[in-house]
Amino acid sequence: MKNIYGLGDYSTEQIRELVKDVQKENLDPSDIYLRRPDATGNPEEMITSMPIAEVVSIIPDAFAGDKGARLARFFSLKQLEEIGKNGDAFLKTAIKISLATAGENNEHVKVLRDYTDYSPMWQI
Amino acid sequence: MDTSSNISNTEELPEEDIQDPIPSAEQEVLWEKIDTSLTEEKIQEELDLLELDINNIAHLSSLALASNIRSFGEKHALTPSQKKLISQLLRDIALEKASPKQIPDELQKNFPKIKDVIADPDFEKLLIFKRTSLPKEESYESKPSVNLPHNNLLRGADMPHKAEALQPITTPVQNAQPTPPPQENDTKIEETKKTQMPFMLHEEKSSFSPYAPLTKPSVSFDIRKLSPKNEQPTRAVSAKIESPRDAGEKKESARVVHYTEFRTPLTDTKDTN
Repeated sequence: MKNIYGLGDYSTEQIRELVKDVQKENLDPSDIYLRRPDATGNPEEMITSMPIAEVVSIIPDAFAGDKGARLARFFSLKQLEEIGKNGDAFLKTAIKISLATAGENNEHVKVLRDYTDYSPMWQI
Repeated sequence: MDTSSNISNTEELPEEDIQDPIPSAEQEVLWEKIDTSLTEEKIQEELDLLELDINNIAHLSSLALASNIRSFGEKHALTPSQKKLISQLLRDIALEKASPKQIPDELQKNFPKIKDVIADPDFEKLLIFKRTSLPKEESYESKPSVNLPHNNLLRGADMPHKAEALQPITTPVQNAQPTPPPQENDTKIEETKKTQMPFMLHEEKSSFSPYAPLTKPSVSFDIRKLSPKNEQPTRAVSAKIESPRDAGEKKESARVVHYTEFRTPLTDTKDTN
């Protein structure tokens, strides 16, 4: 199942190496960052500023580990709604796992969890 | 790592430039969790949801609906898991796995005051779901049938004069195996079952033969067949075009030159070796 993601399975460091090579060729690495925000210098900012239509292209690997769990809390409700509408089951599951491990006391995380818990499109 | 080559030109990249993915331990853990929690059934459900109308999907994924479910749950002092069950029920209704009138047993067990919940008009409102996309089969069947002559083509079993209709398809093709005489062909067609579609699959054998002897052209393009000017057999064409006035040995050498026009450089290299 993992193979459906072109940039999946590669570690964050490997993706950063790839970005370096892409930049050497004066190519824009933004498409890579949209899929793997964990490889950017500021992943939180990347998630926050990500256009709504692009959030569905995030690869689940970006939510791995503690850093990944931190990333999920930077979503807006509108972004999650878009993922609920057009995102795939793997991405939704990865986000739910990340949100479940995110801080209990964070109000924004609670709001996000409320949505993913009670939205029929997130009952996965 | 050198990625200076074009992506489409991957042949030029040395093998050592292609890195294998080395997922971190954290990635492995995440995917293990995903694989555990995401069952085949759930994946199939997600695919089935994609068949819904875009308005249906927008409704099911809307922030407002999730908020209404949460508010309804709070009104009846439901636990988070009970609220999730309502959300799941709505999903099942959308997938036509449940009906709003038939509350699943699982849900009834989880609701001690199920009658109060069902009696609440908001509950009914919550579960209203108008599926606007129909299954493909249903949509085709529900269309009124118009009795047009070409409709018979769609219904192969009922089509009259099937044998006659099939006749043009059996026209002999150049280089194909000799077809049986018409009478024999008719009997074969009549033997076919009525339930079969009125099409006959004909395997056209390619004239390309990589193991053909070197005296023949390795590639015989059908262009020659399609062009009315070049309908002559391959051998005759090659000799005639290249050296129409030459005789004997020269003709032979000219033929070889002609073949190379249709060969890829790779084949050419092979032949010279």
